[in-house]
Amino acid sequence: MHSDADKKVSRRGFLNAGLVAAGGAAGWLAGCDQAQPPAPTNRQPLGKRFTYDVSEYEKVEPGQLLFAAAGQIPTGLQAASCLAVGADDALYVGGDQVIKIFEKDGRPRSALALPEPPQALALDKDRVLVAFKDHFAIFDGAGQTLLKGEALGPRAHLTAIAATGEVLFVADAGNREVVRFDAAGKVLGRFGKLGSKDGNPGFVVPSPYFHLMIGSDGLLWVANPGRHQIQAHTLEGRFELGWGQPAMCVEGFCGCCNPSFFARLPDDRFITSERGLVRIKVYDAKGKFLGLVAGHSQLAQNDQNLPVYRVACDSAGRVLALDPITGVIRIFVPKADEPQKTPAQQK
Amino acid sequence: MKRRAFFNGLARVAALFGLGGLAGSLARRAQAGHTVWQIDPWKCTWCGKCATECVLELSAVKCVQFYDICGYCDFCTGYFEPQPNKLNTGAENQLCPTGAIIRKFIEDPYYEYSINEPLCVGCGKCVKGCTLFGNGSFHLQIRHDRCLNCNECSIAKACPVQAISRVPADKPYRFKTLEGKK
Repeated sequence: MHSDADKKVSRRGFLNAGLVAAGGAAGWLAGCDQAQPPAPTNRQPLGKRFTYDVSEYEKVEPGQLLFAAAGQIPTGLQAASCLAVGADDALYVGGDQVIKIFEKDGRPRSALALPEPPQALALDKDRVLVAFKDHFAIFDGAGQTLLKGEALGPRAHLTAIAATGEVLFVADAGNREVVRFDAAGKVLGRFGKLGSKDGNPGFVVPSPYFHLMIGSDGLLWVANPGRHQIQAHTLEGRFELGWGQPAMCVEGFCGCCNPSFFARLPDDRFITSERGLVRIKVYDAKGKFLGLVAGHSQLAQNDQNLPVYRVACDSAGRVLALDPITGVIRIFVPKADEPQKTPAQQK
Repeated sequence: MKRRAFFNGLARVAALFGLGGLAGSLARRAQAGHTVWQIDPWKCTWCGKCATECVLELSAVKCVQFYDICGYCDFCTGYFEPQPNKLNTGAENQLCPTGAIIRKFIEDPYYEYSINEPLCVGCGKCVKGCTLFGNGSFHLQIRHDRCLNCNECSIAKACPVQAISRVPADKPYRFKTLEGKK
């Protein structure tokens, strides 16, 4: 049993407890780092010198626009990644884990299921060539696998595919080289690696945009984005020529690494797609700038999420541009082919 | 009261107060859950407010280089003016108004870019150039060797896209990884 004396708190004990409590309260407040922030200094907004501004280069002269928007095809893909045009002008769009096929007027035709998300797509007669992250596969029109190429290792990041006859090419942005395969899917060789002694200036690929295609001239055309060029090679991989120069102005390729994608019109003119300053442009077969399909203000919604358009052309000379963010194919027709509007429509 | 007794009492008061203070401080820090302020680089719009809204005279926000995703470009759009005269380190070609980015040759045609933090004001000009045209390896981050970790961050309050929030102190930085984007 406790005595009354035990229950009583002595003055000294009370003061001791009070001191500890006061110290605790002071320590609690000190532990708050900064109980309230000091009043901000009344600083002025940053001047123009501190602002990144390329709006001057986003402007497009009306006379430079050679194409006009002529409609859109929503693909319904969440992660659209690649676009190609078939011999009958059907549109093949890859994304998610499927290739969707549309008629040239935009009506859905069919779809081919894929085992994994496609990175790139091309057509060779009735074969569908698909590049995945580290290997390629060839499918027939019904989606049956005809051939599966060997995997190119953990660093591989395939970004483009093309084939002619018995030779198939893939662009590997991870290893910064082009790989040649035979008809059986066996590696025939590689070229373009920086520093290799194959007589090639070397591909500079700072980001996963590294496109290639085979032209009607029988040459393999490869984008060399770090050097701001499109370069031609023989099918054996020997460097032939290149054109393009770095520049923010409309004639050149902007930023650190462009063009991101390109295609060819039936008359061999080049269509190029750029990132950063989002613009789709037209060059002649020798690389002389001719004009634009569309400029930044037409193609970009805001600065925070800029699309990198995949481009393709059909036999009628239409330019098809796939927005990978919205999954919409935008159609552009040459201005000379644009239907003339009646005065009533113009109003 | 004797002088000795007086000093004994004073020492006792100081000791008890100090003990209580230590316990209180530790309790406060434990209760705060060890969090610090940080910028989400996926949300940041490089508006420039980080440079002017921090309570520090020279902002705690700095540009940092995330080397894993840098392209080591010759024509770095975070380092060079949009249309430089030449791709060299001439002041007239540099984008950074305070000359806070260092360009170092690695091997043709690759260059390494690093930040001289004492010169960086956190304006985000280079971050915008790098993000729009390059891989976005330049990020704005709150540097915790400078940040006061205010209860209410005045930059977070001014941020137009709410890109600044508290993160666990054992993971005080947020880089542009695919996991971070999710």
